[in-house]
Amino acid sequence: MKEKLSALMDGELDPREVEEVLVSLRQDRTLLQEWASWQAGRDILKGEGVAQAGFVERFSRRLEAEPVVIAPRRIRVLRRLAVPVTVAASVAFVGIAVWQYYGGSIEPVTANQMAAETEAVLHDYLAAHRQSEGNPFVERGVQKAQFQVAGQR
Amino acid sequence: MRSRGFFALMLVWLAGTAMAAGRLPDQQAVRLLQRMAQAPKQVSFHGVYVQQYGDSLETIRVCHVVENGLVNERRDSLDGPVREMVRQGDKVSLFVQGGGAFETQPDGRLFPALLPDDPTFVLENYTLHQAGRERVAGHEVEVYDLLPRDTLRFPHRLWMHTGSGLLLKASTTGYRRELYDLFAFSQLQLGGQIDRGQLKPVNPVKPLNASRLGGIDSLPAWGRQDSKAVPHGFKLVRQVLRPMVKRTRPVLHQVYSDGVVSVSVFAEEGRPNLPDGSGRQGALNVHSRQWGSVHVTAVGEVPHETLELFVRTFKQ
Amino acid sequence: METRTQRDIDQELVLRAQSGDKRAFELLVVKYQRRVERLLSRLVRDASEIDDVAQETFIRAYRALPAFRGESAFYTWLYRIAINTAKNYLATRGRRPQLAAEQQGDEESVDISEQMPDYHTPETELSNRQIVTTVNEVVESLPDELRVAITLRELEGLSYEDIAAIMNCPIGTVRSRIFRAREAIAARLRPLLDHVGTDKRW
Repeated sequence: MKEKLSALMDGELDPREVEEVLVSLRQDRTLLQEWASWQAGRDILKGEGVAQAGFVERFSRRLEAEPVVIAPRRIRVLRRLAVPVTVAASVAFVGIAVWQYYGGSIEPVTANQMAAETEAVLHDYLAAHRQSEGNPFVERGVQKAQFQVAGQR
Repeated sequence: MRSRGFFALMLVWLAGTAMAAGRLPDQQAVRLLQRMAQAPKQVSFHGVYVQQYGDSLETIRVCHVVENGLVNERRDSLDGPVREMVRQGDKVSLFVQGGGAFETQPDGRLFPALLPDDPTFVLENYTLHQAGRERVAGHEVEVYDLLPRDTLRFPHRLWMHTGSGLLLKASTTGYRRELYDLFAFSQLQLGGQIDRGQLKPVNPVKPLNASRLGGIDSLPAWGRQDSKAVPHGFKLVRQVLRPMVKRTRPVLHQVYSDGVVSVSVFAEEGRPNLPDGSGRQGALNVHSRQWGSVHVTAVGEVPHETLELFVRTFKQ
Repeated sequence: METRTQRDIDQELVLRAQSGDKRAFELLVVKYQRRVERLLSRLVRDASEIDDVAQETFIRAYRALPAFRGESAFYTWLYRIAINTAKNYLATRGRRPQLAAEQQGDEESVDISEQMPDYHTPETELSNRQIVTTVNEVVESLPDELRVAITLRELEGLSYEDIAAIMNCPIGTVRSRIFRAREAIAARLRPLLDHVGTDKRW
């Protein structure tokens, strides 16, 4: 995996392998440290100087608090023209949610309202999860959960 | 003078380092967590607590009497729809206004009994840190932070009654200490004479059997899963095939635990009317995705990205 | 073979960050941390201030990711955010940038950070010089095949395919040589890096 990470640094991985590396990276934080020390090695070889230590650790703590950003889907569609029609159709049905940045505040924008049936499906799952925790005192809360449609990834 | 934004930034970093301070050695951590887990089996109490998930708030009354090592308990909701739960040892009876099915699980945990008997697994995923002393509902408590060892789970804070070891307050937060979920006693009588009349049900409660769904040992043919890809630090607690409303086929329901929180993974054949996407309420996240003919949804009080990893284990 | 530009390399990570993968974004942060710090060191004096502004820059970039359309290279876009963040920061403190940041023009060809000496205290200067010396020593001491591979990659920017042609070996071998060279450098570098900047903060 580390060798693949190294190849990713050079842009020599195909998208499937990139996916694989990113999955490992989520499971194993030491890979990020590897990446950081290789990157530092590169910067130094190129005479760019030495970066501040601990930067990304501090950054990660802040990043965790940020909502997940999801870009509009069209960037992807443009790139992957081979997306099957059925996928495009199902996305069109529920609409696309976009996190938009308005000078300091982040608000979710849902293009269409979610169908009532969709909400019911979600509710079933949430209720089953709460039941599996053995807590019957949560029904009201479950209904309030909001769902953002991310589009096909 | 620094701008407010940068000042806030500094606070975050300071909080970050403060959070890392006061880490307890494992042995001491084990003893403390055991004490918190055992206390509900030894201490009688009567009180009212609030339960907050994101922006939803409920108030619940609890009367908990321990006699000859047996727990007798009654809980009822003070707001929202009427719900009442009575427990005598392992026997649970329930009343829910408007009906609705409910099942209990042997490992179900209700505040303040949130921790497992054996804390060793908890400490593989979290570290315990001292965070001072406070008062909750008029009682002296010691405050402890249960901080994740990785980013697959959220930090928790525990307020332990100094005398008895009972949890009087517990929260789940984000990495910047923003509050997601909270349980807290607002009024509490600990020990002493507890009015046993409080244990009698007010509503027509019906006895519940432990889950009627038998666990399954192997996955259905359509549900191939890469079990090695399950996020680090989560154990499969059980898996069942669960009938669900408006489904022609049962849904596979797996429950995982990291010792503190649980994650449910649902997989089913077909395309339920749920688009790919994510949702959240408080610490509770949901993530859904269609993999070919299999639809997978993960739910749990963990970061969104952890759920993505769970969903990915079913990638066909 | 067409050589892959930095833009192509970033694109995979940028696309993944845009679809919600925070880990992909962290890789980009690490990659550009040093360049952003260098740029900011021309605008902001104090080392801890540079750190603050750099952190803020990356957070702003993360929030603005949905708006990044890929018309310019990722770094060009990041560069603008860094300049704006620094300007805002200085404005709230009633100061002006030390260098006119307006004359960016085409940032891909002109990087003002390359025209000015770096700002360092004597102590960091000393420890940094030691680090640079160490890295060069490690590279010198590497077996030939590792040293040539890493040099062609990092200094000449050649693709694996080109390096394979020059070194007359399979592409897989190039990949593994570069990886082993990086590991060797990192092993010596890591203990030294742990101290950089730590005294400035806590």
